[in-house]
Amino acid sequence: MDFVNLLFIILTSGLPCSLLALGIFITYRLLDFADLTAEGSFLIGGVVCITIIKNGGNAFLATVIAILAGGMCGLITGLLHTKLKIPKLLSGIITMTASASIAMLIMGSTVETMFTNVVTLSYTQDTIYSLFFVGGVWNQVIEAGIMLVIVLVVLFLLYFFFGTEYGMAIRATGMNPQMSRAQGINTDLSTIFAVSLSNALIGLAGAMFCQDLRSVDVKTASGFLVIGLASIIIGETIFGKKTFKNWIISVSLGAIIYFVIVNFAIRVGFPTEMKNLLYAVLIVIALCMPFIKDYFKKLFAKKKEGGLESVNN
Amino acid sequence: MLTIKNVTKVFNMTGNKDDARKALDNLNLTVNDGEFVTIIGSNGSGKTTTLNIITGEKMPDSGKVLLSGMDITKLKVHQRAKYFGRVFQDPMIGTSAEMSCLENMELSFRRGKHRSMLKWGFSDNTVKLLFQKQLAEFDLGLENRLSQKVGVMSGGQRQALTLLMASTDCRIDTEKEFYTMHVNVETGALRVQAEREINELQNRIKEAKKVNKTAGTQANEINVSELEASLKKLKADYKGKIKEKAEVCKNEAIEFYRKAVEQYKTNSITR
Repeated sequence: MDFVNLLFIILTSGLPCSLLALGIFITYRLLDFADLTAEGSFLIGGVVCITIIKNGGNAFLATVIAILAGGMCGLITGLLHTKLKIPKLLSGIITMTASASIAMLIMGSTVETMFTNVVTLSYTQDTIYSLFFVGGVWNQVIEAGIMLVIVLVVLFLLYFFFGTEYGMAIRATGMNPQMSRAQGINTDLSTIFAVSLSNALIGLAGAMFCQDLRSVDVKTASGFLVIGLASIIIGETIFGKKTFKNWIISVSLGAIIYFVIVNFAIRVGFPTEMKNLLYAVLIVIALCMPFIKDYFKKLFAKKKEGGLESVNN
Repeated sequence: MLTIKNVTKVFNMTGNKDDARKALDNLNLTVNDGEFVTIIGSNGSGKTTTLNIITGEKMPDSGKVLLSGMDITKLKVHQRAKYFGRVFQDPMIGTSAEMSCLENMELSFRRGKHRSMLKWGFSDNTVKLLFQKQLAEFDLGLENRLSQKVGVMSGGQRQALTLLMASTDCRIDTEKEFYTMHVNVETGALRVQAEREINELQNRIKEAKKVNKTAGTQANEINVSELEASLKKLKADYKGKIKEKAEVCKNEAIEFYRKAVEQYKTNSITR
């Protein structure tokens, strides 16, 4: 039972992060745009969603508005970069910085939020998960199931979109902007669109994550950019990136692997206060994984060569 | 008909005054329909700048670019892409390395057309067969490597693909003009070598003059006029060589493009 419980904890925190990873993947991998807006749009997504539900709104409506709010963050970053010619990294930082204040503004200054900066849902307020709850142990299954369905739908839509004429143009923009313009692609527009799409996804991830927690804190999003990046790299290293389909599935699975590692480490007695150190080590390992893989490949190749020589002799 | 009217382009205008460089000074150029043009010049003479101004990568400081009477000076690169097929000097720029050969072809296939978010980006089999047929004409074996990433191909293969991509869509557009400009850089190496020799001779003349001044005697005097004569001959030789080389390059280029144009004519389809 303990194991099953752990599995659901991993799934309910990992699946929203799959979406986060996919969002970051669009900018970081496809568009070659190191977009730091991610933490901002994740927070805005969560804050918008929870605040609307708290004020009596429908959970689905709240999630949709969270997606739009996330996309809006991306739109601002995209405009800052393409129209005002602010460097990519900086325009992301600007939006991320501003979004912390915007989040506070959205949360409003009730007695609860004034001192703690936290909004928590009461038990009578339904999230997109609890709308379908039947009670008992099934609740966890239903929650994970809803998340899984959303992730699968997003995966399918992304796969379709990046195969369409415009999706292809976006991929070309990221890889070779000069050639894209020569092929008649408006690279400014495709950049803005892709950054908005990415952050809309991250907004959805934030909304899903915060609805699972049933609360949102201004500090909720800190560290999630790194989790997303690590997920991408872990997924790519373990599951490969041969075709586009393979690539996006790898990225979404990477987030789950990340939470598997973290949760098991804590379960086997890794001190909780050392969690951040674990994250850092994990990211270092993930980042140098391709290098290590290469090293071992060369090592084995050398051994094989040696073997051949001995046969010849 | 492509017309360039009084185009001037100065680089580094805003910085230090000494850095400012006039790349194009009141340039006028007319290219008629069906004409084949080769621009030849030494490094820094403005060949690439001319090309960039035609395709819109760079905006002229003054003057106009007209295409069949239509003013396209203010159009951005992607807006005039439907009128021009461009082969870049650098083979790495003309194609997208991380995309497959087929995807690159599909990209160029939709140049100047609306790109839908709902329509699948890969065309049906007839178009794919056409791509294969076109690629086969290069005799590089590219037709069997459609699904491979362009990044694994050699520079020459990538350049061949770029050329094909530059000529694909012109067969369909209502515009009859087909301009392909070829800037040849092959004479560059020759120029560097000649320049070095010329420099050396000039230095020797300078030194000889100095020696003559200090020595002041007939016996030690180096024959300056002889050196000057050989310098003159070297310069003339160099000019001849460049002309010869340019002629060869031009013929090669014409052959290359004729093949591409004929290919597109024979394979032309409607979409």
